[in-house]
Amino acid sequence: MGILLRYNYIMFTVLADMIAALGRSALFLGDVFLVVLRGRVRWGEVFKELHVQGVQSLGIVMLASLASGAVLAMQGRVMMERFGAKEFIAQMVALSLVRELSPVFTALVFSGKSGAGIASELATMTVNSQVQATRTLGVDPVEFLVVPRMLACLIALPILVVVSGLTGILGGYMIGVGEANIPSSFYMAQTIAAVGYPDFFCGFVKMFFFALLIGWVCCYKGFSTSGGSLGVGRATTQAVALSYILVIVSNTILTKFIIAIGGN
Amino acid sequence: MITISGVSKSFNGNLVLDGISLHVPAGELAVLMGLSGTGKSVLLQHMIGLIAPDAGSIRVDGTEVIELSERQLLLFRRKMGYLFQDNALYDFMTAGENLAFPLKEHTQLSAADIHTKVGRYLKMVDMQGVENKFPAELSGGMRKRVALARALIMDAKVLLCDEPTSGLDPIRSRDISKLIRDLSKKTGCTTIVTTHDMMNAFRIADRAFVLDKGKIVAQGTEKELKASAELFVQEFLQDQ
Repeated sequence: MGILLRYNYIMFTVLADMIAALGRSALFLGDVFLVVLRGRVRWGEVFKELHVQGVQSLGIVMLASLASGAVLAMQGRVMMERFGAKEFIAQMVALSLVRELSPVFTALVFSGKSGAGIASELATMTVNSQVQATRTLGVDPVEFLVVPRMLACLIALPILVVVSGLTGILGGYMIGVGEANIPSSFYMAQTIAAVGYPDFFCGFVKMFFFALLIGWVCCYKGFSTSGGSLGVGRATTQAVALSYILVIVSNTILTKFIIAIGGN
Repeated sequence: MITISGVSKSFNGNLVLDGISLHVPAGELAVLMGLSGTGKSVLLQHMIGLIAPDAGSIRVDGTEVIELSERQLLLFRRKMGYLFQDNALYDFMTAGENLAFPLKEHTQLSAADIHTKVGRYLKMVDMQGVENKFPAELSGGMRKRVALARALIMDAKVLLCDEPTSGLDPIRSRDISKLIRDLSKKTGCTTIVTTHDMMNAFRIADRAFVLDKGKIVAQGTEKELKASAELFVQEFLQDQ
């Protein structure tokens, strides 16, 4: 009985903490929206962040996408040649990338690189009192430090997803044309024919949603850090892990929802 | 200038400030003394509205701080200067940019005027020529001086210094304490300094308050405190 009570107490405490954290993070997001709605966006800071989050992530996203497009085509070739349908490799690669792989894959890479960067930067500033100093200097730290980073996420990730899709298709093309001996013009025509507006819509909805989630989680985790350098490490790890989970779970829910509303 | 009445504050059931009252007149330099963890920094953060009390009143320059909204607090803080224990300089900005930041945010000064004012304040803290250096390239004492200049650059009417000499060697501690005293008197701003360093406290203070277990147990000049019958004050003075 005692063990059961203790178990219930622990579960209750954990649940209460989770609800409280969810409430705090929702208020935090509310503050961000308020700053944006009031038009207090510092575009200079947004462009600086775009360089850090977007331009500096291009290399890793392109490399990862090129490799995944190529691997997708290699695996697809093995399977499709069994059924004598290797000419469909182009369609399979393009559809998989545009609808699923590029948004999800890029979001995960982006979480690991830019998300971790955001969380660790803000966490370091929090434990070094720089966030408090911003308040004492009469400046809203959400406006100065958070909104530019979140807006940069919302702009950078969609661009990276488009770049990822194109690079992935190039990776597939290299294998399809170079190894599977599919004619280049046929491969390109198949790629263009395979991808329609609903597929772009599916990818676009996902990438904006992922960008919002990553920006929100990483900024909130960084901003609510305590406990010195240990806290910085913990906040960064939690931010990246939580971003990964949220991207993967929300991808499933969004896919189900998009299919339900007729997005194929 | 600063009047605190019956301020109490608890964190997770732990009473940190227990009905504190104090008054610091305009232009005076007061020191809050006490052992580590007695709530000195917490009290200082109440004065600038970073922490809201559970009970009590905090009036700074005629403004009731606890009645201000978050946006009003941002305006109110423009006339306050706060020197953090760990300096809290933006590490992604140079020393000059750190000083220019509040001026760019809150004034209509031209870039040339901002540059001139930054140079003047750096000179005031004897830090000419470090405009283009990042905080990481400066020593602890130099960072403290730059942070002090940033705290004052908006022509602060009130300067709050949280443990300004912690982590510094005795000579740097004495220099920083003297600098705070000189700048406070030169600018005429009301200054409150928290410290557990008795030697430096008496060197600069017009008046000192001694905190113990969330209460002010004694206040006065060096002479008055040394004559205090309060047991904690005597022990505290003897240990220094």
